[in-house]
Amino acid sequence: MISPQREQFWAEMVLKLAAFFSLFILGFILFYITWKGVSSISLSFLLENPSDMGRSGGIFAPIVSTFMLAFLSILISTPMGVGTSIFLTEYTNESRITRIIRFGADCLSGIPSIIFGLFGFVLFVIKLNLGWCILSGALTMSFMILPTIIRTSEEAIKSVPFDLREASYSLGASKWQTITKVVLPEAIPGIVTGVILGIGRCIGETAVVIFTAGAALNTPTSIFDSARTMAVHFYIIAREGISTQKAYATAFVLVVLVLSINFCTYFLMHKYISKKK
Amino acid sequence: MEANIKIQISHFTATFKPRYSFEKTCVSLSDITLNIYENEILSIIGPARSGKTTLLRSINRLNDIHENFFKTGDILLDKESVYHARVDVADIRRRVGFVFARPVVLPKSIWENICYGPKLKGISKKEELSQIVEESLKSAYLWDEVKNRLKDSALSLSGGQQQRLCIARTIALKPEVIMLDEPTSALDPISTSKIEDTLVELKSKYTIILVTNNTKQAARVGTKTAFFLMSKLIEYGNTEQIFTNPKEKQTEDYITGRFG
Repeated sequence: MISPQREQFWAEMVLKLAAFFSLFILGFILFYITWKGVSSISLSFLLENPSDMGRSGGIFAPIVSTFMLAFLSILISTPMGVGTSIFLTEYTNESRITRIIRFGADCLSGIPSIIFGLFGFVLFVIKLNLGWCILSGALTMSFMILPTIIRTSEEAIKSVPFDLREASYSLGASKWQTITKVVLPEAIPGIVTGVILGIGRCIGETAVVIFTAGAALNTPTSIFDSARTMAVHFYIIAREGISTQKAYATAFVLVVLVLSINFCTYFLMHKYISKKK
Repeated sequence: MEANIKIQISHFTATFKPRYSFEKTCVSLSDITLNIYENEILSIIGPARSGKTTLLRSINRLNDIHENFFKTGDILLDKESVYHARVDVADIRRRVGFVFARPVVLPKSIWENICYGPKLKGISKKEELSQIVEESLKSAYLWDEVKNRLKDSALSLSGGQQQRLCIARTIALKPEVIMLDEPTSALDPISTSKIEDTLVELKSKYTIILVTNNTKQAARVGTKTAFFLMSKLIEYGNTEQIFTNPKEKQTEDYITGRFG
């Protein structure tokens, strides 16, 4: 029989090991990409367009495309997702319909992205004749990240105490006034978390982009241009053996971008919350 | 001279229908008939789950947000039914202010908390709002403690201050009736006595309904007292009479602390 003290000791050791191992993997990936990629980073790499299929030059066009695609996807999916979650939490009682919508959202989040890519290709690129372009890509991508935004916003809205709603009603506010003036301001940190997760998925996505936005190397000037995001650029030049060095440099920029978006939002959120307390 | 009847409750029954088949139908109020007079404090006493809170929430229609709430009978405010189909619910809630048992301040500044109701009513002028803020904080005896920090978050106030802020917030609506649901149950004796003093002051301008678990409090501040038990109104009368010479055995048992 093992004594409780001993059990405690080993449990702590195992948990510690798990935590350190996870951190180590994360650190290792970051270190490896930085080590391989940072040497080819220069201002011209960031500001020049790729030439010779990406063998030389920079990644200006992929950076612009990445931002355009992610921004447009978020612009489409956030109102839809937040709207759905408000409807689910505030305007319906727990019933069969809400369960179906919620189950649908969960199913949607389990679908592999390549299926979304194929769907977007058939619907937007072919059927609606939009062609390979940022708009097709953003529409498809926004469907893909919709479940994430719905579920995180729903949790955030649900966690706002019911007392606050009642207090607002008792002061003569309507349901909509209560939602906009009390519930949403309280739920915003949670909603933003969902949106950040969505941005992360947009930036890292390849399958959907290849199917719906194409892989053109030119700098896009409108949302009707075909474009190649950083993730796709990395995928193509690495897989086709065009330039491993440039691929690592692209990966490095991609990682730095995702991390800085996370840090910025974390910082802003912290400021927002501490201002209210 | 008889005072004016402000609220007339006639044969009011409130039921919460079960959402699931295994739940029982819950009758929270059964056949309540009660008149509430202008410029008086009516204290409602009674043990837990006797329907006191449901009654308050029925008067300002806060029970409407529960879909399984059903009622029969009627409640008249100035001789007009609050449940009439054409009545504006927001208007009723402004005329009949409500203070909750636990202080529920909105996570905004002190200023914003008080201006929340008036702004919804359409008041937007800065001078008018600051006048409302000052007046209502003064009526709730909170002005001196917070006048230099109106922009601070209301969450930074102590529990007693928060509850007085809630009272001030209700006064800012310029209501006709103020209902308080055990407003001092979460507070220390000093805050409690401050709030009781506030209520007695407010009596001259408003009609006040005070639900309380504390029979001594009812005896201290109430003009009239009503005793509820098991969703029924057992006895109603002048506070003095209820506490010195109750007609019903159950009332006597409750106020002498034999149960409840």
